Amino acid sequence: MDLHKLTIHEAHELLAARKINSVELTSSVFDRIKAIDGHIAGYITVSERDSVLAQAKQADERIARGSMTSLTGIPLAIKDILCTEGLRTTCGSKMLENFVPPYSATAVQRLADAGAIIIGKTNLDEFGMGSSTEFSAFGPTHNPWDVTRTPGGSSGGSAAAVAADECLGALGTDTGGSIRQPSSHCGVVGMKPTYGRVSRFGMVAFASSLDQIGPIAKDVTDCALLMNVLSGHDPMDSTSARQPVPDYTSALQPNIEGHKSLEGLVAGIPVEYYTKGMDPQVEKAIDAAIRILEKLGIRCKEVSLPHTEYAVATYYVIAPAEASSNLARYDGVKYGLRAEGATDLIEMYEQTRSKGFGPEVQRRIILGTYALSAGYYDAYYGKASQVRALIMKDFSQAFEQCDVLLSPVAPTPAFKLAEKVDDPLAMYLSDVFTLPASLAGIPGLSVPCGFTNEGLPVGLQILGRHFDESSLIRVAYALEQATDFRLRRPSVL
Amino acid sequence: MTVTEDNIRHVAKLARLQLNDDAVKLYARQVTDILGYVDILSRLDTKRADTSSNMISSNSSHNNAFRDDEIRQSLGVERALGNAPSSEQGSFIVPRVVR
Repeated sequence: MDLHKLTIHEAHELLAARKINSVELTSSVFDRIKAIDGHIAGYITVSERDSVLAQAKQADERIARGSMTSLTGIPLAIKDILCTEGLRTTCGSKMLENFVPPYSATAVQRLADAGAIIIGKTNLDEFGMGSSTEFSAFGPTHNPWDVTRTPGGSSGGSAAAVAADECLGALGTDTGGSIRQPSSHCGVVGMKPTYGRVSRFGMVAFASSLDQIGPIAKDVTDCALLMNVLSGHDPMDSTSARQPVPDYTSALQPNIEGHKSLEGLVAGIPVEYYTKGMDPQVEKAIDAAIRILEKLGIRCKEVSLPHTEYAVATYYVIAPAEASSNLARYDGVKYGLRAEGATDLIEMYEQTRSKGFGPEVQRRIILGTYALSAGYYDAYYGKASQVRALIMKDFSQAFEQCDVLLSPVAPTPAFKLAEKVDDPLAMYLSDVFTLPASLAGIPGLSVPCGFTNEGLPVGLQILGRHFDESSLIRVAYALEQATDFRLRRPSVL
Repeated sequence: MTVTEDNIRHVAKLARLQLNDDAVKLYARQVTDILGYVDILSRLDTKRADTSSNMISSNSSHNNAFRDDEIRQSLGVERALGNAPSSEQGSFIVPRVVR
């Protein structure tokens, strides 16, 4: 049995029934990584086999004692922007190439407390800045569906690892689309929770008003299981919400023959998201998915989000501005890279930061510093914050008429490596469908909804009201169960 | 609105980045392009935009993130120095700060 191909819930059933144990499950995943990660480069750091199998053995003991959770004994991967105590955390950057955190992120600790096995740290665009994982200081990740293409980004390593069965699930982070877009490009399920739903403690900060941690999974059930463990208030994160956490698995309502499981739900189709310049095959897959959802009882209506065209500009002022502030801490003093040979403090800062940061990070720091500098703050950050408020209002007005919004995740399927790397503005414009939800803080999910003729995955984006992840899971599950996209796997050697 | 090479050099100084002449030229061009695009925001009338609910959960009356100032366990000196490029006697060693 190829145990690495299991989903979290399938593995859990077999573990609970003692048909398999965590040591053999984890070994299978380990062997899979060894066999194929040379072609994918999804991982930056893979834990030592012995230490991982020791964790698996402990999980087996816990299962034998009868105190297992849905994640006990399950091997998971963690995006390398989340602190893992004792396990190198690089953020895809030379600046933190040898940084070993003295504590774990709350989200990681919750997984560990539930008994999950942390297999390793996945590749990302440096400090989360990018949409293709090409800006990692450790080389790009390759899309398992076509290794000449990017997996998307910035959580490209996590999405690729899940798609290629190099883990049973993973954590990613999403600031402007960095879970949803790579999930779409890699044919897996990815969710950006409502801002504040999942603690950001231990997530290396990129843009503090936008950052969120979320699950990347093989199917919607796994996504719900992970959300149950990740969600909830954390006193260590001052932006963490106190909203109670529902059981997200109760949103997994099966499609019963003759019964319309989505009856009563209204889906808004935002006209501004169906623009020219979209790949016709993406449009075709999205339309087909919407037809399926209509057959399941959802009522579709056109809505307008009139400030959509300003979202890219708004984001590319706010995010770099916040990043320039958050990345000011990397100075060679207390941790991370310190450039050799500086004779005074300022020189040490300048040389360290210039050596430690890659070009995209430097570009965003320059952009952000400029936007926040004296004389420009009101015109840029101030103005962008006001437009952000208008974008939020667009969504709250739309949600007066509908329960969810349906749209593409990206205007094209995964693009070729190096295609956009020299044109930052073109790269930024490809985030047009994911950015608005980040600015508004609303939850968003990408679920596989088809393939192009070249066999590249296409994802449907489902957006919802603040703290209504359950509706997203409900709609995604209905679509997933009415199709068999999740059963298709990339043929990686 | 052009972002000049001098603008970039000034910003680089603020951000403590050391850029060579090619990098300054490149960023001047790219930042000009990006901010040129961002300029569409100035077309919008935002006089009636209410930014008070931009941050939906922090520091609002139903999510007071403050607590009383009481001593709690922290990292400890040894772990805090764990990734120090240079340390001695419980302190971080840096190049001379004051002449």
